[in-house]
Amino acid sequence: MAYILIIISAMLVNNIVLAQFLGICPFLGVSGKVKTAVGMGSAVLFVMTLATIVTWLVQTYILNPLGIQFMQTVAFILIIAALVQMVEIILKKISPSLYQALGIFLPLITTNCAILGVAILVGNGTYNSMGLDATSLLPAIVFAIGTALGFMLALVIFAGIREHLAKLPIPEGMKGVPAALVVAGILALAFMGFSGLV
Amino acid sequence: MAKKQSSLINMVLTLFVITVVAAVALGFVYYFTQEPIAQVKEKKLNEGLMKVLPAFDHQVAEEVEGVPTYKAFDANEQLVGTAVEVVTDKGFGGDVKVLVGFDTEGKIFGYTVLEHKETAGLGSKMGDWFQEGGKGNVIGKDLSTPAKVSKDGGDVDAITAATISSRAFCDALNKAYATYTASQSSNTATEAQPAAEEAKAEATAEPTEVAENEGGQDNE
Amino acid sequence: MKEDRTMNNWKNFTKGFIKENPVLVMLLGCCPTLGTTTSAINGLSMGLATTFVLVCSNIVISLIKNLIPDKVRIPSYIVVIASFVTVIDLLMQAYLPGIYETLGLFIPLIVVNCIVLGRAEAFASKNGVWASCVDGLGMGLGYALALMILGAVREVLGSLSIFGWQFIQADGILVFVLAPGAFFGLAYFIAVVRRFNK
Repeated sequence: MAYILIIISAMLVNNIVLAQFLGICPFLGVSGKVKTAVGMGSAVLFVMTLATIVTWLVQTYILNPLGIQFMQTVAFILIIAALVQMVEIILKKISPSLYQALGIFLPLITTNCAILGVAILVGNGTYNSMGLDATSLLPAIVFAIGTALGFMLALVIFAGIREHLAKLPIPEGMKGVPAALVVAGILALAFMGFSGLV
Repeated sequence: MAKKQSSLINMVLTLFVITVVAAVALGFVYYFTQEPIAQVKEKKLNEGLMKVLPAFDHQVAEEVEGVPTYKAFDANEQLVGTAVEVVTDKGFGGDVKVLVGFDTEGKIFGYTVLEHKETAGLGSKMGDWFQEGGKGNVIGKDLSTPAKVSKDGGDVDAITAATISSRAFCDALNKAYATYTASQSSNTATEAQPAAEEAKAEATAEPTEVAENEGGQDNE
Repeated sequence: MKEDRTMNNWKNFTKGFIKENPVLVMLLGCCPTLGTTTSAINGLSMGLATTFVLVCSNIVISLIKNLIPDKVRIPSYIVVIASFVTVIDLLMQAYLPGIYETLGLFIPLIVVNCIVLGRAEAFASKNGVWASCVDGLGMGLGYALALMILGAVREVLGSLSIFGWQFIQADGILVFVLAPGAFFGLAYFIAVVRRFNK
């Protein structure tokens, strides 16, 4: 039950894009079409889960025992960069079709602050773990999956709206990003309705 | 200077050197900031304790059932109050950490919110809202009947438009009280007689003091 | 010749404020822009922390640019940037604990702020030390200014105060302090700056 609550909380109540403001760049950058939004979302889901597991292992078995928590930022960003590269190479070899679907999004993910943000939250055990032990692995993985699903959800809804937005008459100065930001704001308002769900 | 070749050995070497230099440099910065950081934490704790407890001379930190508890004594080794640092996960934005101070009778003497991620302008008001003079004043409350917001049938006025944060706050209070009671019972077990007598003596002396305090606050 | 160079430096310095303002024109570093501008002070502190990282990493990268083989350029830059982020993280923890707590997660996330890596790649890796330093300072201060103004607007509307000074004792339009207000505020800010840049 607590695991379901973690997912709901990470996905809807504390949506990473609309409530925590992480991962805005890809949110604004690639969400022109629903199809690309799904692609980007799945790439983030894949990398975020993997990155959370690896950084959790590094935090628990290297940084904490050695007492060098201050190397966290350096270590995590290097791990994520290396991980993305490796995923790219492995995908290319093993599953060319999957690589074609996700490939172009992978390089963008290194600088997606949502990934590093989740890794740091998990590393410090400061995410909302619904009463479960925040320093153990399973709640962390569930939290990462929930967050990534929330990212995908926000991205897909946003892309769906933007597909229609392109056809509307908008004042010159508001075209493009400003209009998109207003839409994002309204979406954030809507997501505030989830508050108190958990 | 010519650009270095991208041969494997060059690449590995460069990355290795940069990382080592960075790690050493950070080690130095960490070494020099460690003490100020520890001081900041200690100062924060002490300031918090002074806010939530009656004037005290020194405090003893201990863990009761894994919860940090601070017992404050005056110069004559008399217990003047107990502070409990509790975390609740019922908050709107995540964990809420509150330091709650109890007087010797087990009534709330004061509280301070140490950490929270509640919404700015709504739940974040909990730092003032429940204080003396605030709309949802809980100071002086006896928690033998658990704190509840009025919406749930209790007598604590919730922060306007932030019932969840207020519920979390009540949860923190109740948790703190549970720890406080546990710490008291462990106390009486170890130093049974004198402590009980002290408590009795103070219990009789207390009411007038409380009344004085309240009168003073009203005038302000 | 000398005058030319000072002119150039001046241009390098000022371009970050309006013409190439990193967040308002180039749309880089949106996450902290939205996440930390709940008040003018918070926005300004975030901007200055980023400026510190930007200037330091620009200087170091322009110094070591010739020692780094091309293929490991990006990872090397990331390590340099992450190190300076950790430095500011530790310094703020020690000397500005109040601000450190409000900015929270966004301090380590300066690493993935596209502005920093962007300037390293686009400017510092091609220019001299002094020019890179000026570029970093200009870009950083431009960013800080934008964040401060956005923070001030949200603070005035949302909590009826400015730099922590409450000028009317009442509740403001709360939504401006909450997530949606961040999106709306930035949307109109960008639209206004576009109008002036024409």
